Amino acid sequence: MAADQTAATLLASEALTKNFGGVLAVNDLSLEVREGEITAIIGPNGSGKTTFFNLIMHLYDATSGQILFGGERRNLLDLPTHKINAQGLARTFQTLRLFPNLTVLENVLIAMSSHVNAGFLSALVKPKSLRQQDKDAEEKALETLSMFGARLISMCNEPASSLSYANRRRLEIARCVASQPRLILLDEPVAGMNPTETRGVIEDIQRIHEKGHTVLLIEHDMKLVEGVAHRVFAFDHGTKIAEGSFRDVSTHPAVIEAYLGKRAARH
Amino acid sequence: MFETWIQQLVNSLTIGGMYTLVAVGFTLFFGVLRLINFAHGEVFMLGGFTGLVVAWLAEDLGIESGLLIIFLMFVFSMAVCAVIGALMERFAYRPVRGMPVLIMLVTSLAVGIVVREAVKEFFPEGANPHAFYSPFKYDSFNLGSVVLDYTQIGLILTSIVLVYAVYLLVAKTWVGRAMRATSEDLDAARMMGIDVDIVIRNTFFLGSALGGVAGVMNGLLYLSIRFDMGWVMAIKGFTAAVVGGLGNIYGAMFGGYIVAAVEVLVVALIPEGSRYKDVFVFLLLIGVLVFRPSGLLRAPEQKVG
Repeated sequence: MAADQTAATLLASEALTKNFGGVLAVNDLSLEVREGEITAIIGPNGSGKTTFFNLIMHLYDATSGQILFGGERRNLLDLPTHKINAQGLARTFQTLRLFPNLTVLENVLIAMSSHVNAGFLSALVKPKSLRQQDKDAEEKALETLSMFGARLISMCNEPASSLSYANRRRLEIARCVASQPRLILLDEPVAGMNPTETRGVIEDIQRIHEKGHTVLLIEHDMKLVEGVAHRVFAFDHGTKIAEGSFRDVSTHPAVIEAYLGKRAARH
Repeated sequence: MFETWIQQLVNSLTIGGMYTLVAVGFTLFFGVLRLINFAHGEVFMLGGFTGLVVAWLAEDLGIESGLLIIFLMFVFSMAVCAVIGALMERFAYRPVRGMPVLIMLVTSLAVGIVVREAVKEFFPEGANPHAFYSPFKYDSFNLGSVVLDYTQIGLILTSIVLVYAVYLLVAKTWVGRAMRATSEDLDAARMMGIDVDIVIRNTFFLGSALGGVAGVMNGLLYLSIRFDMGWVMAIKGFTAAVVGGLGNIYGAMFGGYIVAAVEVLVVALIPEGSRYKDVFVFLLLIGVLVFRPSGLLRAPEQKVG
């Protein structure tokens, strides 16, 4: 899969550093995610991948550096977490973070909160405009769920906790797509899945991409990375050690060293 | 015999509604902040005193309709308590948000003491009980051989309507959905674009307004209010919330009626039971905490993943 060299930068991390009490979880990280591509981040455990996602969502303050998003190059680190979704970013989690007692449909509706403005009083009296908004949102949510056929739709009024593991993962992805983000962050989308399910997720990611979303994903499963990624970043010790096509990165000596140790890299 | 049981049922529905309104606050606050807000009992007490002031003012203004005065008492105590609850959250609980549970708990006890002592010191004759205005206190009607009290029936209906309204708000609206999502996973809710500061403020508006209503109900029912009546109500409301599963809004709605039923049964079945009814409420609290800490309904503790 050839990367499109002319594509615009959608997200840029510039000299980003996160120091957790002396541990540099992310260390002087600079990288660019191009609009319209599927980009994968690989790297050993503890190499700063998830910390990077958490910094993008501004769950932590960065020690230094910035994360610029979109054509207007807005620094996400200047925005509170709840305003980042409205900029056009949504994410999934390595360990699922659905709202277990909300229904499947409600989980998706929650993810559309940025698009609904409903104050406390208007929720109490439910003016007509809000009722219309409710109805539209529900229709859109159902449409989003339908990307997985009947699997989620048939369960849409059941609590999310009643879904199977694979369907919970699908629901997280649906929840992401629901807010129509420009960039979707997927944190280990196939963790704990069997090969058949993994193939399904590869198709899902490609479908999301075809709908026009840019995807940035963290993954250990090299089959998935090879199957979907236009470009790959390899992380180690909180910084980028290699970048390029899957083949370039997977054969890069620094990457082999990071995964297997120095001796292996020499061969 | 039959008449007595009907009367006991009416009694337990009356005070059960009151406990439920208080319990919903406890469970809402715990849900969004993991805070056991013991100052909530003082909000209940302030609701009662607000109602009293409204009744005094209504008298000065020459308002004569008892129903209108009661309505005004409810409305104003809801408004005053909602604002006071939101102020408590903003200035006492937000600075300690995310800190260990014990720090938040002690903060709520401190806020409670400040409010209670302020009423005692600054309200006219604040240290003494005040007679409450209750225009229909001696009015009753007969249904067959059962004598029913207008005030009680009114309070039962009011609490049922309010609890149902809360149910609709929580279950069917964006505001309620955001509250539930925030209760389950605050950080995930933020990443979905929910401003949790606003959700938490709304939660305090709602919970405290209901506490204020319960304060007025208490006055209408018992005809007397005191600056220190909040503490016992806090324990009972908390018990009701625990019975329903702390954090579980639907659970709190029936927890209040269970606590009330226990009280009423103790009074009815045990000789001199009225002296011991609080003891049994505390036993219920301890029993649930020991044997069913997640409440008699399944609490929302099971995690996905």
